[in-house]
Amino acid sequence: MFCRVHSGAIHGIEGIQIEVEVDLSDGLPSLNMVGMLSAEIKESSERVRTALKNSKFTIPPKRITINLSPANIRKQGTLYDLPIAVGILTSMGYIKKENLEQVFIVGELSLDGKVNPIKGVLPLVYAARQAEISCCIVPKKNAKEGAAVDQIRVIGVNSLLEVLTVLKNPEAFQGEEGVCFDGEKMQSVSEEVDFSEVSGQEALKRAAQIAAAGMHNLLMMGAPGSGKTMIARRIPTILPPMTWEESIELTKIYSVAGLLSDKNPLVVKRPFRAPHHTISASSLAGGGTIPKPGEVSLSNYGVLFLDELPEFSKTVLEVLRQPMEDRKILVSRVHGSYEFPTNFMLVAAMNCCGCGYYPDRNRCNCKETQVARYLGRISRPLLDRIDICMEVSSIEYTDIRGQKKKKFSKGEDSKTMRERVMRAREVQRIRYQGEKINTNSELSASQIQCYCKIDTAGEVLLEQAFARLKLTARGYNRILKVARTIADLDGEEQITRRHLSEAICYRSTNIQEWRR
Amino acid sequence: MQNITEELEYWFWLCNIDGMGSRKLQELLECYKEPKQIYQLKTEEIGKAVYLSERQLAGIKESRKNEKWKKKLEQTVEKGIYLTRYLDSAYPKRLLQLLDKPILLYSLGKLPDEQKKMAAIVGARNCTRYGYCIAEEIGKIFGRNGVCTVSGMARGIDAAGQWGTLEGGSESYGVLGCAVDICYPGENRQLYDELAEKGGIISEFGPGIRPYACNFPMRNRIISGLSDFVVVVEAREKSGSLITVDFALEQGKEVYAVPGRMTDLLSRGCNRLIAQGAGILSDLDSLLEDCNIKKRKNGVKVTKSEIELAESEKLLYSDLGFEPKNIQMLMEETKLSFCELTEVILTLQLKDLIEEPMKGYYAKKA
Repeated sequence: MFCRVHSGAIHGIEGIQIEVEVDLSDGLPSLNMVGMLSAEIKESSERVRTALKNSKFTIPPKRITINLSPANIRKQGTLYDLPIAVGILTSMGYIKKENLEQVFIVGELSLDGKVNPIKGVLPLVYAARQAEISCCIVPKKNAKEGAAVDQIRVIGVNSLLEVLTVLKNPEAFQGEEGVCFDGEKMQSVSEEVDFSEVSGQEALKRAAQIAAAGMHNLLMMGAPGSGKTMIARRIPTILPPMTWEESIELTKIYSVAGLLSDKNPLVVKRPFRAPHHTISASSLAGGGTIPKPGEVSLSNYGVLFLDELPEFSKTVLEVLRQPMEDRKILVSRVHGSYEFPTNFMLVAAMNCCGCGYYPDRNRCNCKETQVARYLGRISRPLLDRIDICMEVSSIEYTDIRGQKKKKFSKGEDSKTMRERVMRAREVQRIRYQGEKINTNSELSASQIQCYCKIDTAGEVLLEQAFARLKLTARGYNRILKVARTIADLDGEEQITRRHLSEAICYRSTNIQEWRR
Repeated sequence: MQNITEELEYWFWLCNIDGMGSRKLQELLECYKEPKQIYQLKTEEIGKAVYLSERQLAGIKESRKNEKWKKKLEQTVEKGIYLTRYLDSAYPKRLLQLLDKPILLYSLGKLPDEQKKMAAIVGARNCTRYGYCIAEEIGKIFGRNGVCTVSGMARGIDAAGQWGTLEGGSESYGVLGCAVDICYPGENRQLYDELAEKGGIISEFGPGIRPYACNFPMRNRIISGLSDFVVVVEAREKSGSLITVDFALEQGKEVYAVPGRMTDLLSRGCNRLIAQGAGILSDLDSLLEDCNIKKRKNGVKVTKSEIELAESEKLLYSDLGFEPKNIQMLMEETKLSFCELTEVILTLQLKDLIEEPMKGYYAKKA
């Protein structure tokens, strides 16, 4: 007796449909599985056999053949336990074949017949909806995650017996309630840090705000203990709340990486990823025999923070080039190429020399050559992709006691800063409606010509600055992009001299210009 | 190109024996007058008249094994290097007073003119920008007034002083701690070329000798020996520049130091020198009087032409010095907002009054 169960597989961060075909025939009793399977799937026969036995089913002494089709796609993971078990039961006649036609099943089985959670439910449910299947059976713990997809019923199950009940009459069961999405509310509730905790550092806060408004990459340089990490951690709090689409795309990535829990079925907060500098190139970019998303993808729509930038190995840093340029990364392995989105904002922090205190010669005794070598670890192409480069000075006592000394009023809080950022983002969204981009940092050279209009005073200034400061064409474009964002923050359509001079101040100069 | 006489060959041989210091050479020369004579003697016989250590004896034996040194001399001369014996008339008279005067000087370019005043400008390699600018200024003032300078062509203060002198239009001499055909440090290549052209590169170390650490105190005695007085711009408490100062005091030369703040580590050495009685250079305008040099009539100090500055620009410009300050500091001191400040900074940068020596740091242009 033959039957077919709909299931799925993960390819990159997208789900694809897989058919689990089960056939019971006469012959020597055995259980054979085919279809380009990884070790964990081959093991699933043991799990399924025992789970069936412990759920009081007796497997008939027959030849059972299982095929996962299409058979030319490499499959891995434990999500096929449940569809295989259901397939066997159907072949044995416990479930009506017709009832399986509109049902998509994934889940891992434990030996006692319980259904365990799996990775990647969200993209799988999407795949089911695409295949126009009306009902999904997923492990209970993944049900909330799957329910984020609309126009499809997602039913969470705890055990194999429950699945049987559902499959007796799938139409009768209610789907799981989806999470009510309100990005703004969710984000503000979940923040633990706030910009108002940063006293002093007004210049850097301004730079961070501009970076957030235009999704510009930011590099902070300065002595140890000057608050670089503190600022970086607070940048996600001033980014605009995530939209539904962004949240879903990000949830897919996190789902595939197995980073979701039943308490947080959806990623609603902008991610902040701060990998340690010992990270390998493939864990940054994404990798594995069947590639998993790396840090560049996990920080999609959020902040990738690289502290102590020069300490990262050179190969790791060079990995960042393509994702920063194309906003996606193509990871190729034996079993295929996988594309992951990498629309992150890079925030990097570094010291100016090995000891950290250069150019304060009272504290730093590094040789000029040592300083040059330290700074030289950051390659020019990488620097070229960083729009805003900011020097951070160490905090003095008066700054820490800022509030009392009245020297600095209490720092602005994240809420006001975010409102400003959101206004600027809205301006950008409307401006770039016809284009494929959302923010100023994505502007191409030809788009810069079109959208960055400068007044005459600004033109004069740029011309002078170009010669005097030895700007390059690339540097020139970056200045215009940042100036565009500054003007957007000020709510002005035309870029003026003031915006340009601020943008020029932020430019990241090359290594030779960093030191005397 | 210098003519290679037979005499010179033997001098070259003698001065390139491994393990021989200039004092020992002097002793030998007092005993035998001519290096050729020494060459013709048996090694054991040389050792009879003058005490020679095992290593020195071995060195003599080794050097006599073959005639490679003749080839070496040819190569040296071909590079345009001049060899000057201490008996020669071109040999700097100032050095003759040293007890351990170098027997043979190698030089590229000129040797110092006895008639001209000669100042040594020395200081730290890892200097502050303030120190660099001051050394350059001092060099310029000397240069404009016909004073030559001598220094070690090292990074930092040395190079700054020498660049300044060349810019001021006078000669500068670099004394190296290695052979003259080696440019050390490599990054000062441009300075090396300029010095060879407009002044001179001098060393007592023979061809092929690398910049070993032990060479530097030795070359410092030549720096102070060639000078009429020594100017120390920035020095830590324990600094190689202070070795030069010690030599200078031994040789009876005047020492001047640029004072600094008590807390600046790089001024500790200078301040201590002043406390010990060194001359104090408190003002660039009165630098020449302080050093007892006659001002040249045509050596007028070039003043920056008056440029019209707006109020905020004046405010920022007066706040900046040679030592770089960052934006946060400037914001606090000028009370300008960040946006205003960036605009003023750029305007001043475009007017060529200030520069950005390092990302985010701004300083007055020297």
